[in-house]
Parts: sequence; structure tokens; C-alpha cells
Amino acid sequence: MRFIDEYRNPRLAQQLVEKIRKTAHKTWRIMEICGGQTHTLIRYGIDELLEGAVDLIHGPGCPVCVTPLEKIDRALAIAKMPGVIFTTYGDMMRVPGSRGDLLQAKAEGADVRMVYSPMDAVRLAEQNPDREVVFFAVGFETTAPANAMAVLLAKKKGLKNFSILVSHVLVPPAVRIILDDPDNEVEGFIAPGHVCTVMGYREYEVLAEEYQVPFVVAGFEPLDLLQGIDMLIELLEQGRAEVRNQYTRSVRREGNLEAQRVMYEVFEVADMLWRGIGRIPMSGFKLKQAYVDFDAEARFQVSTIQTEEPAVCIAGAVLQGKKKPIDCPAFGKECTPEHPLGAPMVSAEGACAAYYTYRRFQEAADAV
Amino acid sequence: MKSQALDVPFEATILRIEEGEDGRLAWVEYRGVRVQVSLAFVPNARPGDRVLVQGRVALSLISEESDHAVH
Repeated sequence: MRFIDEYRNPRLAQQLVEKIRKTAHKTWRIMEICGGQTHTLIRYGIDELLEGAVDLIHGPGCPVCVTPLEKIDRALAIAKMPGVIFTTYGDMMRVPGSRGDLLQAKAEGADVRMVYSPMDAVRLAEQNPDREVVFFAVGFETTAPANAMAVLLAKKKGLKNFSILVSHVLVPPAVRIILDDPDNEVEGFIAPGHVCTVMGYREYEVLAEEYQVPFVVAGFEPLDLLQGIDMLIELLEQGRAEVRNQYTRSVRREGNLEAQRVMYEVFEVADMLWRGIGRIPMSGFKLKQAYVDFDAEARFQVSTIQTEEPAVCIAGAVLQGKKKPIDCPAFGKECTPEHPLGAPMVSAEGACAAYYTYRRFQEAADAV
Repeated sequence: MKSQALDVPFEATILRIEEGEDGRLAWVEYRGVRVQVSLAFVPNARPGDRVLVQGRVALSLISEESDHAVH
């Protein structure tokens, strides 16, 4: 299939694997930031093909996984309010809050609907003027422009019954937290191609200079990632703390300026709580004052939320790259995609879900 | 197609473009699946172009000339 097969060509993949293994004179510890990249690496066994040359550490780039428990509990509380249509992307439906998830709330009678885009939620608000339509605006820099566009569209249409529950996070501040950790062992980063498509990669140049670590912006297909790893290993072997762009077919250094303009029209940078990591200064978005009428948190008063994480779950350590999913005592036992304890087992981008889906749970069983 | 996932982008080909009340929209195809996406952030997109899509919004025009993964 055109535009698919050429990025999954086994012959080219094998050549790149051989080149990486030849170039690497030690086992380099590199982190792929994005959960979508983690899934490709595990699905195609790239981590196993490169064993000995590269130790792939999975990063915090799964937006569903880092959405704070407090925000999910708040979403559940709002969804259960009378007259509310609560809308969200599909992979948020099963993320466990302290007491249940949105799918359970739906089963109990809440009007929770899966949408493909925030624009679908705006349309629902138009079609249901007597109902309050709330969209759970979760994600990294990639989904923020669309969510901002939805707010602008709702404003243009004069919709008073549309609001968003904002939980947007930004990648560079999370990378900074990882690099500031005294126990950090990451020597280079594969930066997320879709985030850089929107934001460009100037922010990563600042990080590379400041922390003296290289970054390669890469896409999501197996050859994208293998080539990105190859470029990163070359930089590491040469001792160069630079930023390179493998995903040139989509990413420009300055990013998508129109998307950024719309995003910063509606949102401003703010401190943000990350599930499993904690509060990171200036690491997320909140609605600007001019758009506060669309803020679901302001519109729906929810009483104090008491959150409760399962004690056995090590999602925080997995998200920070300190542990791998198979290090978790609950992995594949109490915690499975059918009965997840933590968000990384739910999301299409969660590292635990990737390991489980692509049969690494057998490794965990064998290790016992 | 796992387009219900938040952060999973895909590269799709534009089949046709429509001017809608809510802006410029395109029908795109990815692995045999056709979906409608917004072109608000890629104003120069034309039928036949490839775009990176996430959350039913096109985020960039794919440039095959600068693609060195397969060349």
C-alpha cells in the first residue's frame, strides 16, 4: 500500500538496524517521548532488534496517561450532572478515576458520548440548545489548536451551552523535569514528530544547548524511528548536543504558525499537574480570561475532590522512564487492558498497553 | 483506524475539498478509510496532497521531496 509499505520496508529496516549496531560503541540510553512512537517500537520489535546497542526508555508522551486523576474525577462529576452531554475522545472513556471511569458513568445513565473531534462537540451544542455540552480537552500541543478552534467557533456561533474541561500539557517542560532528575540516565531523545509539526523544534534546541543532550525529531513509522535512532546514535557517538530533524516531510523548524496563532489566541501557559509526576511549572494550557465563559471548571461547580490512586500501580515511574511496564508486580495480573489499574494500560499510546498488546506480558511471566 | 485515540496521527491523501459553513473541509483517505478533516491550518492544501491529520484536523502538508526516510 502506497505511503505505508515504503515506511515499513523490511530490507531498509534491516539495513538501518545493522548500521545502528555498527555505529554504537556502547549501549546508549535514549528516550522516545511520544506514546505513539512507543507503540511502533514495541509492535515491530525494534527495541529487541537493537538490544545491546540501544536501551529504549519510554517517555511521558501519552496525554491520556498524564491527565491528572483530579481532572478525571472532575470529568466524572460533571458528566453525571443533569442536562450535561459530556464528550470525549474514545481513549479517555476507560481511563480509571478514583471511583470508576466515564464508560461506567455512561452505563449508570450519564450522557457520555465519544467524538472524533472537538468540532463534533460544537455541532452537538448547536443541535441541543437546551443541554450543556462539555468537551474534555485533553492532549499535548497537537490537539490544542483544534480545541482552540472549537472554542473560537462556539464563540462565533454565539453558543452559550458549550464549554471545555481543559487538561492540556506541553512536552518541553516534562523533558526538563526528566533532565533535572539527579537519577536521570537518558542520554538522547527522540522528539515527537506531530508535536514538532505544530510547535517546530526551536524549544528543543534550547534544551539541547542547556543540558548538552541531542534530540532527533522523528515520525511514527518503523523506518522513521529507525532512521531517527540512527541519526541520534551518530550524534551521541560524535558527542554533539544538537537537534536534527528526521521527519522533514512534515516538520519545519518554526512549526505551523497558523496553528500556533489560533492556540495562543485562546490558551495561555500555566502550571499543570501531571498524573504520576506531579506539578510542573508552566507545563500546560489554561483558557485565557477572554474565553473563560467556555471553561467547564468555572461553569460547573464541583465540590472538593478526594483522589485515590491504586497503591500497587507504578504508572508514575513508567511515565518518567524509571521503570518498564514489566517491572510492575500488577502488570498482566491485576492490571490488564480489560481491568486497568493505571492509565498507561488503557490508552492506545500507553506503554503498559503496548507491552501487553504485543505480548510482552509473557516476558513478565517468564521472569517470575 | 484508531482515530478515536487522542494522540495517534496519520498521514492521509486529500480526495476532495469542500467549503463548509465552519471553514474549509476535506475528505481524506488513509488505508482505505475516508474521513472528513478541517484544513484550517493548511490553507494551501489541494486535492491529491498528503496531510498529517490528528483529531480530524490537518496539521501539515506532507512534502515528499524532503522525505528522506525512504529515499
